[in-house]
Amino acid sequence: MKELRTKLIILSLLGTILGMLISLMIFLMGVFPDDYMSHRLAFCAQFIGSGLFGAVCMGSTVIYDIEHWSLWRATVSHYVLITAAFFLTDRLLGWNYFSGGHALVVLIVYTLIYLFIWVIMYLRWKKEIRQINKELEQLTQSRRDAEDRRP
Amino acid sequence: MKRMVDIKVVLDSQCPDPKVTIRARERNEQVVHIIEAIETVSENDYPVIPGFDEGSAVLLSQRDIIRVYTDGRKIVLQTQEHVYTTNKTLAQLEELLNPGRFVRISKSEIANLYMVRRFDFNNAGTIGITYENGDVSWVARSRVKQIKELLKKDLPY
Repeated sequence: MKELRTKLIILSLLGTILGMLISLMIFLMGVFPDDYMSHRLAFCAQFIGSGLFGAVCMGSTVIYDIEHWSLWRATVSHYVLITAAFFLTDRLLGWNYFSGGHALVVLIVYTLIYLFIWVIMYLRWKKEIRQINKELEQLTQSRRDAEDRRP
Repeated sequence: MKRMVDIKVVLDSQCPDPKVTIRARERNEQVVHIIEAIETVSENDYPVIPGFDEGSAVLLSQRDIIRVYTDGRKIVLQTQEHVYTTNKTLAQLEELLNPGRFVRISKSEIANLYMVRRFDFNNAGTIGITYENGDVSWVARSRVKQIKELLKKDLPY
């Protein structure tokens, strides 16, 4: 539990820094209208909000480290958490991904990406366990052979 | 005709633990006996584990232990026929158990790899483990690397 907490703190801090850097980069690239960023408050809100969103994104990956949670449970929990955080940040900071006619498209694409990642992880683990079983089978076979030869 | 065994000892400062290689034409009865003899000597380095069953203490050979796990606040030693409790913690037992045979599979369980029938990965994405006695449990994904490493070691059989 202590390890998990430490990992959560470190990842959240990294996520905060990363989120803030991305926000700064977007600002420097001039994506926002001139008058929007001329307001100091709006800039600060974007900066802090992006940092918090980054913290949630990276910090929440510790969900996958909860030992007794299945891959499915961890993925669904991560998906719900990130979607909620994304929706909230989108609304508060006016990113407008989840508003207007394209909201459903964004959600579908976003969900499909998640499903794709889950399938990849699932197949990877399946392969890994198959490989382990093969090695275990060799070990078991050798042991049985040895036992059969016992006088 | 008696089959003699050639023994060659190579002193190597790079080798912290003795390493035995048996070279033979086939894995015959004699080879199996040699492995058993070496194993017995080697196993002596790993102590028997005291287990308690209804007030009586039993000294368990590590070979007989299928798994060690927590059951509520108790630490349980599972053998083929019996279940014993112990007053040691999982961390203490991990120190005592032969690392060439036992591996930690979750925060609450240590498995004897020689007593594992198979692993499986179910649709929900949980790694299951089935032991030779039919017991079923689960493995933490973060511990799979250690299991793979142990399986890749030159195990005696």
